[in-house]
Amino acid sequence: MTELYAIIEQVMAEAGRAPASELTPATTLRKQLGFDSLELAVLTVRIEAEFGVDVFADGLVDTIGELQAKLDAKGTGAC
Amino acid sequence: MAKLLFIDDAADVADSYEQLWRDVEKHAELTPTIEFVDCYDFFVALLAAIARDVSVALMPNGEVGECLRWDGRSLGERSGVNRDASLGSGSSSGLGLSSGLGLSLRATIEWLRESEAELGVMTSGSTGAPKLVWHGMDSLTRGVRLGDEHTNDVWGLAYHPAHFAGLQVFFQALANQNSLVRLFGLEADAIHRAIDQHHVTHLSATPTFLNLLCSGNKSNSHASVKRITTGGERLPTALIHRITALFPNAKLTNIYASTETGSLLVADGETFTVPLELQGRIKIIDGELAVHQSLLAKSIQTNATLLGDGDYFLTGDRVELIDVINSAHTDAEQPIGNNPLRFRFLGRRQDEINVGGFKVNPLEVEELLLAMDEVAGARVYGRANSVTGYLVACDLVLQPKQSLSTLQLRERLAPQMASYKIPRIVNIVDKLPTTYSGKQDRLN
Repeated sequence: MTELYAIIEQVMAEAGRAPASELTPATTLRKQLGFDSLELAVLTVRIEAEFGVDVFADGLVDTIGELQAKLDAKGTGAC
Repeated sequence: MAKLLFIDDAADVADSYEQLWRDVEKHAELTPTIEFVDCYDFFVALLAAIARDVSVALMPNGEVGECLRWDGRSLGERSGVNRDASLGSGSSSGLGLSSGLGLSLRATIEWLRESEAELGVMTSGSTGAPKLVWHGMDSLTRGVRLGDEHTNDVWGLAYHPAHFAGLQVFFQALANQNSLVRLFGLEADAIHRAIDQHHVTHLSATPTFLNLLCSGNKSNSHASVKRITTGGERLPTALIHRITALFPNAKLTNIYASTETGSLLVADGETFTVPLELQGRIKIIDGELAVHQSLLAKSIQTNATLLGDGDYFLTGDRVELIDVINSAHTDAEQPIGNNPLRFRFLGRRQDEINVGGFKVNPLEVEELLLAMDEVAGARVYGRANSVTGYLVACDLVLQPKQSLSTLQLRERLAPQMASYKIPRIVNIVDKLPTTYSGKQDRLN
């Protein structure tokens, strides 16, 4: 999960946002972190570049835990 | 000392005109294609084909040439000995080249134009698969200028010699017996050295090539260069300022030219005006520049599949009319009254990036990036993703000792453009990819 958190924090930093006080598997990307569609697009591009998995390919996901599940299902070994 | 034809410091080569004509006369081994390996050998084979009225396809080396070799059908249809089929391997041509042509400029250009040879030239491949376009010698030499004022011109050869623009530079130099200095395919430092060392006076190059020269070179200027012709891509205003600083004595001409059309129009800054003699043969159809078939290369004139409605070739270049009134017609705007058609280029239609249904012109973004002091070169493109279809991404070459973060870039661009146009993925790179013709490569 650490690598995934790092990517999320990078996307937030590049957007000029303050770091989140806490990231957990239950944290929601839109409601809690305030990601808009362009930031979600950046997130999926960065994750794909890192792990080779398009996490939004079969529909949108909402929580960090759901993102991790997509990576786990592809056997990326991301943690 | 014999007049030098071609100078290549990288290969330690200096070939003379005298030798050239002797070698052309001896060169009797004619092939349907001329593959570029060595510049001088390429020029000899090219002139030998022209001398014998033999049509040949010109193949650049590397990947692009490999790509075209698969298209054997289009090569075979055109190539072959036209006038003197008796010429074969090893025969002496008896063309009298070394005794006459090397001496008379007028004879050289007439000799070129009288040839029935057609040359197959590849398009640049900057925005699509490269294709072969056949030109007669009249269209290839249409822009050649002769005269005493050109006697001491020294040309920098910034284009690949097998490219349409490279051939035009070669014929211009040949017709005036000027020297050609190899600049294409070199690193910026070597290009700067060659321009100074050989006192290059004339340059014809893409905006991408000129931007490469201007990058990271704030202290030097090239006083010897008197004339620069550029084209093939949009010329951003920020780059015009950089070129003027680097070449303080040069007159800069921006032309519209392509392998399909040859050189057609000359711009004042970014604004192109259609001259009276071309009115009606160049028009705007649905925001795209369209050129009448009478102005096209021979092989396009006769290829109905490449022509749009009404015998006009759609160039794929999106343009914006200047001084226009809007009309109800689908052909968009018309010039006001009897004013000539004036327009500026917006970019290639197929380069547009679709971000969640909003269209982004990458050249508009590149122009703002290039206006930043930190940025030496910029390439903007779409990055596919499953959320918005595409995102705007960019590769940046920074000026020496400069840095620029993604956040800084976004904050600087935010007041100037809509949020969806601002690059979200920013890569800092050492250099940007170019096609063999020296344009920015938008495919790879």
